[in-house]
Amino acid sequence: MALATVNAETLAARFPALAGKLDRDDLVAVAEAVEVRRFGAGDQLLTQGSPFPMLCFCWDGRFALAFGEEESAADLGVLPPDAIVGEVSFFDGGPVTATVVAITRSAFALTLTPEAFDVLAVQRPTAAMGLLHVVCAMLAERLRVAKERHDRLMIERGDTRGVFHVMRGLFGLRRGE
Amino acid sequence: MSHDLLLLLRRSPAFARLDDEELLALRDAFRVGEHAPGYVFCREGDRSEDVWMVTGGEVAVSSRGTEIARLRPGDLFGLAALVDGGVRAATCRAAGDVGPCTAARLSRADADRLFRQAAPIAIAFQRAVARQLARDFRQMTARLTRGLGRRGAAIVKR
Repeated sequence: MALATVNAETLAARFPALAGKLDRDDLVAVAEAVEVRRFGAGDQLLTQGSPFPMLCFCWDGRFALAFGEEESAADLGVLPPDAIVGEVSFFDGGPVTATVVAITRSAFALTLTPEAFDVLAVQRPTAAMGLLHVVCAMLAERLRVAKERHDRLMIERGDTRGVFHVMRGLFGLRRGE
Repeated sequence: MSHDLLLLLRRSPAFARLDDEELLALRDAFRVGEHAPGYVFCREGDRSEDVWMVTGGEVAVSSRGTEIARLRPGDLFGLAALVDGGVRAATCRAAGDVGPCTAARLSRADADRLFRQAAPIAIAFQRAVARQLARDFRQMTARLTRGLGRRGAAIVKR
C-alpha cells in the first residue's frame, strides 16, 4: 500500500485530537512544517540522552520504545500506530528521554524541530498553540494516570512488574501492545 | 516585600519572547493580592480555574501532606488551569514564615480573553505549561526507575 500523503485531511484522520483543536488552515500549516523521514528496521528515530529534540508523529510502519542506558535498556514495547513521541525534550530542550527504534522494514515518521516550531508560531500562531495544547493535554493525562497508579503501588512495595507497567503507560504504550 | 509585577514578568523566562506591549497587556490582566499565612490558592486533586505568579513572600507546595517545594517571586503556579481537564497536582498555600505572601492571579476567563487578543501570550503560557509537564515527567521517570531497581531491570530487559 502506498504511503499516505501528509496533508490536512490525512493528519486529521490519523490524529483526531489535532483535528479537534486545529482548523483546516492550521493543519495545512502543520503538514508543511513537518518533515517526512524514512527509517529501516533497527534505525533509531530518537536516541535516549541525545541533545537534539524533535517532536515525532508515527506515520507508517511500527516503532518500539526502550528506556535506559544502552546495555541495560528496558524494552518497553511497541508504540501504537498513532503515537506522538519526543514531546518531553521538545518542550524543555533537555536530553531525549527514551530510544525509539523502527521495527518494520520500512517505517515513516513526521518530525518537527524546535526551530520549525518557532517558525510555525510566527507564521500561524493558532496552529502552534493548538499543537502545543493537544500534546500537553495528552502528556498531562498520562502523568495523572501514572501518578495515581504509582501512588497505589507504593502501598504494595516490591511490585516491580506494576512499576514497569506504570512506566509503559507514562510513555504512551497501551496494554496488549 | 512585594515585587513589581511588570518587572517579574519581564524577567520571567516564560515571557522572554513577549514585547513591551504584550507584557503590559499581561500585567494588566493579573490581579495582585496579599494573602494570610495558610491561605490555600489551590488544592491537590481539584479542577483548575486560575493561574498565579508569586509577587512577594513564598508559597509552600505540598503533595499528600508533605511539603515538596517553595515558590518565590516570579514563579508561576496553577498552570494546570490551562490544560483541558487539568487537575491540580499539588496544594499551594501562602507561607507565613518569610513575611507577607502576595500573588498575582490570572483567572481562566481573563486568560482566555487575553489569549484571543494576543497569540504570542497564549503560546508563552502554553510553553510554560509544556515545560512544567516535562519537568514532572522527568521526576516521575526517575521515581519509577528507582522503583524498578536492579532486579526489575533484569526482569524486563529484552
